Amino acid sequence: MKLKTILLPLLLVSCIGAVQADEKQAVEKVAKAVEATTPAAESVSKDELREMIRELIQEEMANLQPTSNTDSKPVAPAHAAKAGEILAHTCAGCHGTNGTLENEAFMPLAGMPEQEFVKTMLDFRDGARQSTLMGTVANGLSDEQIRDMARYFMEVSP
Amino acid sequence: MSLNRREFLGLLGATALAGAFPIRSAFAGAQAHVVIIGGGVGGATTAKYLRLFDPAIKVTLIEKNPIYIRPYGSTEVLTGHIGMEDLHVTYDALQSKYGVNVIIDEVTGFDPDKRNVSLKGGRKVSYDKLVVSPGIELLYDKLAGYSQALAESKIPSGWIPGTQTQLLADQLKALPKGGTFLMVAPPNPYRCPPGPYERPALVAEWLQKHNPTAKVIIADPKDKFVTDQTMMLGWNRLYGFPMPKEFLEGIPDSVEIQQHSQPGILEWIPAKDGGTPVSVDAETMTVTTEGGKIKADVINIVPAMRAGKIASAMGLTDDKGWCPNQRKTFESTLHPHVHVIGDACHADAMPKSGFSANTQAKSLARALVEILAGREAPTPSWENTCYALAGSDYGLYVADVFELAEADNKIQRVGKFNRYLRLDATPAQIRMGAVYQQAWMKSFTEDCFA
Repeated sequence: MKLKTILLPLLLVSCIGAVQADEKQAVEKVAKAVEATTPAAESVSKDELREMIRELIQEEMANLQPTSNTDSKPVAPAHAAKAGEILAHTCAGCHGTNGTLENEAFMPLAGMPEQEFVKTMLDFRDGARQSTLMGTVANGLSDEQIRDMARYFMEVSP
Repeated sequence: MSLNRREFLGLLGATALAGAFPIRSAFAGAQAHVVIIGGGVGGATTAKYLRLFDPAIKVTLIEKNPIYIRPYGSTEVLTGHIGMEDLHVTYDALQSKYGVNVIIDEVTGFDPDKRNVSLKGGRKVSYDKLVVSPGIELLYDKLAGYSQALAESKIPSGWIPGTQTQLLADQLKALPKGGTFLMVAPPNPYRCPPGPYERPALVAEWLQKHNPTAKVIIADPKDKFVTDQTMMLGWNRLYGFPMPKEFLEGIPDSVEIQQHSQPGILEWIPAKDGGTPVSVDAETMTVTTEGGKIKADVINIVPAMRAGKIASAMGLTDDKGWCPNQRKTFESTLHPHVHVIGDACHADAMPKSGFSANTQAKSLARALVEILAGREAPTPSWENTCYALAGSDYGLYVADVFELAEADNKIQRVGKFNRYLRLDATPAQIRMGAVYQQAWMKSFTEDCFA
C-alpha cells in the first residue's frame, strides 16, 4: 500500500474537486499529476491507478464529511470581505481596530448609527462641518462608499 | 501518511494541480501557513489582521529584535518629551491575543522554489505565502566622509531609532550656548516625508527655551517637500522664519504672515540656494554643500536609503533599490508567492510612511485570505495620514485616500482636493492637529501591535 500512502494527500485535492466538478475529471487530473511526479505509479496500469484513485476519493469523502462540522475551528474558508469593510479598516490607524479604542481624542466608530456616520462624513466632505483632516479624507470617498462603511461600523459591537 | 504536508506541497507545486485547485481547499482541515519577515508596522499589522480575518490561517512572524523601537514620534526623545523606553513595543499581544507564532531570529536563507526560509538559529520555516516587510536600509556611505561607524559615534542619523537617537539627544543637551544644530535632509524617496522638517522644528522650539541664542540650519538637496507650505507657516509664526517668496502663493490675504527683518532661529537652505550636501568632515564638524561650508556643533544626517537589507539579499529589489510588485496584492514581480509591503515596496503615489504600511498590510491580509480560500483578491483601498508638528502645540498633516488605477496598475490619489492643513486654519484647528498627532501615536501603535 505504499502507493496508496503517496496518493492519499493528493486525494484531498480531488475530494474538493469532485464536489464542485465532474468526478471523472478530478480523477483524471490527480492521476496525471501522480504519473508525472511519482515513479511508484509505474508499478500499476493506467486503469488500475484510476480505479484506485476513484475508490480512495470515495473513502476520503466518507471520512471527511462527518468531521468537517465538528471541529471547533472553522474548516470552511473565511467569509469574503463585506461591503465597506476594506475601506473601514483604513480608519483604524486613528479610530482603532474596527472603530473601537480607548482613546478620548478620536471618535469611536463601532456601533455608530448608520445615519449619524453618513451625515457626519457628508458634512465633513462639503465643509458644513469644520475639521482638521476629516474633510480631506471624506473628499476621497463616494456616497456609496460612505454608506457601506456606515453599515459596516453600525454592526460592530462597541 | 508517509508524506508530510510540506513534501506534499512540493509534489503539488511540481504539478499542474497547484493552479487547478485552491491550495487552501486542497488540505481541507489543514492550515495554510503565512510567514512574515519583519516585525515593524507592516509585518505586525499583516499578522494581526490575518488572524482577525481568518483564525484558521497559521501566521508566523520572524523578527530579529525582541523589542520593536517605533520610528514614528522618535524625534520627541531628542527634546525629552518622551524617553527611549516610550518607543518600545512588544510582540506580546500579537502572540497572546491573536495567536501569532513569533520567532525572534534572523533570516539567512531563502528557497523560493521549495518555499522556505532558513534561520540563523538553524531551523527552516516553510510557507504557503511569504510577506516581507523589511523597512529601510540607510546608505550612509553615499555621502562622502559619512559612515555607519561615524553615525554611531559622532554624527548620528537616528532615522532608524536606537542608540543613535540617544546619542543625538545627549548632543543636543550638550550644545554650547549659541551653537549650531545642522540637519542634513535626505534626497527622495525617503521614509517619513515631513520628518526631516518636523525634527529641526522641535529642536528649534527646545532651543528657544534652553539655549535661545543657538541656531538650527537645514541643508536640503531638494527645493520642496511634503507639507512644505504649511510647515513653513508654522516656522514663520514660531521661529521667526521668513517665508520664501515662492511659498507665499495661494495663501489668502486673511492669513497673517509675520515679517522678519532678522534671520530667526531656524534657517532652511534648499538645493537652489546650495543646500545639497557634498561631503562631511567629522574632524572639523563641517558639512560641505554645493553652496559652501557649514560648521556646526551637532550634525544630524538623514542619508539616502533603499529597501531593507533582507529584501536585497532575497533578490526582491530592482536597480533602484526598492521592491517591484503587482500593486493589487503587492506580490513580488521577481518571486511568486512573496509579497512586499511598507517602505521597501514601490507604491507610486503612496508615501513611505507607517500609515501607508499599515493600510497596505490590511489590504494584503485580506487579499491573502481570499487567495488562500480560492477566491479573487478584492479591490483594495488605502489611506495615508502623516501628522507632523511645527511645535508641540502646532499640528499639521498630509492626508490621502488611494485607489488602484486599473489602466496602468498604479496606485493613485483619489480626487484632486486639498491634502494639507488649510492655509487659513484657525488656532483651534492647529492646536487640535497637535492633540490628534499625540493621540495617534497611541491609537496607531494599538492598531498595529495590540
